[in-house]
Amino acid sequence: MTTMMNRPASAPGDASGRKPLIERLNIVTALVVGTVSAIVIWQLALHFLPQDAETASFFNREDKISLMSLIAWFVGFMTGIGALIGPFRWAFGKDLNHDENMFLAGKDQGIKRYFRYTTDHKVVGIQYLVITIIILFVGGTLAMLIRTNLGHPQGGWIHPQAYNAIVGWHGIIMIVATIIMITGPFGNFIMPIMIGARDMAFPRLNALSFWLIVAAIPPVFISFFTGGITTGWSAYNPLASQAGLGMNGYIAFICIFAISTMVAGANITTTVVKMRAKGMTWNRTPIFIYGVVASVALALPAFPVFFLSQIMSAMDRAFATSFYNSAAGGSGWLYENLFWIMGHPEVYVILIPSVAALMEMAPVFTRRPLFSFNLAIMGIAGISGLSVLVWAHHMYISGWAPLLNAPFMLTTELISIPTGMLFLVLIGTLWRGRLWMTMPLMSIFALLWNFMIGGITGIYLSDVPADAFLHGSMYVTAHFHYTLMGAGLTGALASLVYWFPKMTGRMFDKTLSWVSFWLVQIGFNVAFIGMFLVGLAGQPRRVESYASIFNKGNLITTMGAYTIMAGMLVLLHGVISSWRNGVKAPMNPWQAKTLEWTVANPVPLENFETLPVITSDPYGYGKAQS
Amino acid sequence: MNKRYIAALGTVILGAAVIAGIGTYVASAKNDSRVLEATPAGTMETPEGTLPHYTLDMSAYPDSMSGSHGADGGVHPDWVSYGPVTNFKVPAHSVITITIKQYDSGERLSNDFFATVHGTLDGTATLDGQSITNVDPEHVGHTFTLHGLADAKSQLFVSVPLPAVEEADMPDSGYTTSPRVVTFSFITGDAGEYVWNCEYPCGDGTTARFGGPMSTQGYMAGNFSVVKA
Amino acid sequence: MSVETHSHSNPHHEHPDVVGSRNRLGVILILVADIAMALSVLFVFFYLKGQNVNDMWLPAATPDSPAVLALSSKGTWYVTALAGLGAAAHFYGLKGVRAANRTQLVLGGGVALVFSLAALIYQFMQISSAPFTTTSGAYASCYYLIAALNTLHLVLTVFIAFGNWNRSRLGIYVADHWHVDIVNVWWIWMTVSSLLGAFALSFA
Repeated sequence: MTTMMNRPASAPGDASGRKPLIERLNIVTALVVGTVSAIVIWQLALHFLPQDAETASFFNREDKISLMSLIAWFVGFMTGIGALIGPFRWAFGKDLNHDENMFLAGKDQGIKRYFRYTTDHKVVGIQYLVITIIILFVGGTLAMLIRTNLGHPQGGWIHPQAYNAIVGWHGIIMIVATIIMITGPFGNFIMPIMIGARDMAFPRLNALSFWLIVAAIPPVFISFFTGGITTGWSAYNPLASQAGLGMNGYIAFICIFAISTMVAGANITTTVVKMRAKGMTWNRTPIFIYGVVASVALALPAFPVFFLSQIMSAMDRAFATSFYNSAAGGSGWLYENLFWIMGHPEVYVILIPSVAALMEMAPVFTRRPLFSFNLAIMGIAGISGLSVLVWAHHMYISGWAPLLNAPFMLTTELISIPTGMLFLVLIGTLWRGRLWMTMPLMSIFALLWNFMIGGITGIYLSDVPADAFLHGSMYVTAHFHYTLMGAGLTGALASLVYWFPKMTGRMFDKTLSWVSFWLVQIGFNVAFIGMFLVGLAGQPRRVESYASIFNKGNLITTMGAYTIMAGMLVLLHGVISSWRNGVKAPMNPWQAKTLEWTVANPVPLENFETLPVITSDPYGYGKAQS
Repeated sequence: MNKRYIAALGTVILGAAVIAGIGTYVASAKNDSRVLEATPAGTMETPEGTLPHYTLDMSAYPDSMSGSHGADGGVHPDWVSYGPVTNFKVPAHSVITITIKQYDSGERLSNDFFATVHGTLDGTATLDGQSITNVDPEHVGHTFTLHGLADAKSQLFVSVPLPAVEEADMPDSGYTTSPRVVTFSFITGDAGEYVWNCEYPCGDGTTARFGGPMSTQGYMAGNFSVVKA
Repeated sequence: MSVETHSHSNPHHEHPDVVGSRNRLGVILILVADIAMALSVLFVFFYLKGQNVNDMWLPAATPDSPAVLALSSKGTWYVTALAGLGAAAHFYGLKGVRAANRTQLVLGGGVALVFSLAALIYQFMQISSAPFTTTSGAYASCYYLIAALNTLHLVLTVFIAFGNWNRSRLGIYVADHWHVDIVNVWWIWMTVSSLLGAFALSFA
């Protein structure tokens, strides 16, 4: 195999001995080009953008300057990381040659490949894992600030305006973290190997989807220092159009993230459809693959709608258009519709891969075939299909189309049926299995418990009369934490422990995984049961202070939150210490039957020396010849 | 104890310390920590008996050049603002007399409720020395509206309209030499944290002019602490 | 899962048809996202038009400003026509490369590039000559949104058409031409998306 030393003859700068451009770009150049671009555009706009006209009372020059600077940051960052090299080389007929592709794949670059526009799916998977951990840490820190402030009825520890910004910031970055926490690290690292492919269908798009997320993060961080996201994560308009400049960071963050999601969705789906190993028919394709594809396929049409809603929000702010301004012909309901058309499928974008990951682990740790593989697929398909028909249950109380409340109640409650199928598959697999009591297996029990509570409380919220009382209360907050965190995050943490040996070549410290598991699960249930209680008693969500009758429940929740924090920090320690000094993992420590466990540690650059041919299903535990 | 468990415990402690550090920073980074304390002015006879009397003086400006944002007006020199600060501290169970000099022009209120005086002694205020109970909602510059947060302390609601300076009296630069002077008194209850804000839509933003200074602490809103005397 | 590991024939040099098929699916999936956004734009247009909140879809005259009148949709149909002609020219080029006629490929791609540029310039002229501003009510907002979306599509089309023509000129498509097939998919979507915008604006 040629190495990076064999540079293409056509590469620029050969005569002078300088490295070709493709080798000089990395995260440092990206940060520099992005920052310089933003500063230059900011200064140019400050000097040359005309002042708002006296007559144009709604014209907002600051929003224009802010948005232009954020766009400059984005374009500069993506240019600096090398995202535009491929398209321009294509247009000028100078396609990347083998050596350049090998360089982009990160061949022989050691740790540097993690800071470049590297296309190898395993590098991208690790990059996603690290960035997910970072976002979860930031989001968790914000959660602790929220809970500390709510430890006392009068609040006041944090300034109310900063508190509002923290709630919005916590909400949106945790949503993004939970969206990427399975499909990012494991969808990228594990999925291609699991289907017997050498890489993703579009390796450069794979790198693009990751670096777009990196580019999206600074705007949302900066937003905190420019007025914050004071609207909650949903950023309802026209509230958002009245908020400070921080909302522009939110808009930029969402737009960039939506592009990343679209790119990742097309890439993952194509990979699965077109690149499965010979013999891997659809009924021999592991259930985790179905979960990942369902998730990204749902996101594919949903996130562009969110993208559009934010483009219109930006236009309302910077150009005084009137999409959401009812005084000039707009409608707040328009935003609510666009937001929730994305917002509810997004819940299942988070949930489905987590449940699918646990369904993947269930046969491994019970040494039994997956109970009713077809039912699992029907469940995933049913949830995916119905999830796009339920969005207006978030809007019962908004006054939009009351006649549609009943149909939306029906579709929402119907979603219990495919969800029940997934429960049945998991319970059926556990039933009379030879349980191997590992943290991933215990996570299945935790998911069944948490998702049951999250699901049943969701049925109450889907019910119009009950929702009239519960809407906008802490009950809603507790409900969606039970689904997204109690079910979603539980699956992700189990995935981390389960696939850690393949991704890092080390076993995850067993004791730390257990300690973390119990701290997180006990803390979680304490925290959010307390939140259900105060919600039922009438405490509204997103408040900085509250009546003293809610004190006890809030105190319980805060104590639970501190317990979760301890558990997550133990897990973080487990990740770092196991990665550095953990016991070296054998090729297949769980004796599992899917393809990722048939490749060596560390996984070779192109995964398989010879591509596998599949002759049986992946869950044939206890069967001869399987 | 096994070394790795000590290390795990260390991570928890370190992580908690990092989070506490960030929290302490955020908690201390309030927009404007400057507070104006009420000045003692003897006692006053009220329907509730003789109570300690305190005064507060403040102004409402058409920009930010004279408030707490510095001589250059800070980040938004053209934003309307209250001054000299926007955080106030007064004693509990006392009479507070507030005098506001209003230098800004204005237009119509979006809610006529705020054109009426609420929560003051006798339900009145004085405008340029004349007693009033309400003003013309078509010509309001700002309001001073004080209210409580949702907790168990005794509630307090005081809202007084500040009529607009006539457009003809607004100079091209600087402030009018004849501001509208509004004075009103009210009685504080138990100690607690309250907030005040302006209810005239004098901010920017694309909708209803409740953005910018109207949605940013330190301009047309602030804290009002009632402390034990 | 039982696995056999006999050697895969020519693992590092997949057949162009395999690569082309994969790329075509990828582009179609990306277009699914773009289609979702384009349909959302139509939803926004007809929702706000149907609601006509505060009679501000097309604001009536006031003492300070004249009434806002809907533009004739002719201009948007002209843009669509230019896009359609570009698509036809590209298809002509595609037929050429399928018949191993490089001259026809270069000619078709070149004409398609010219049409894409013409459509882009015409789109800019339309935006800059609109008799209202972004603050002129909900119709004007939707007009600018649709025009901006079409402009974005046209900028991408110019880039793609340039790349396609340049690569044709350099003889890159002699061996295989799946790129040209995929560019054809884009041209079809460019035309359809422009048509959707023109369709909506015909109902102002």
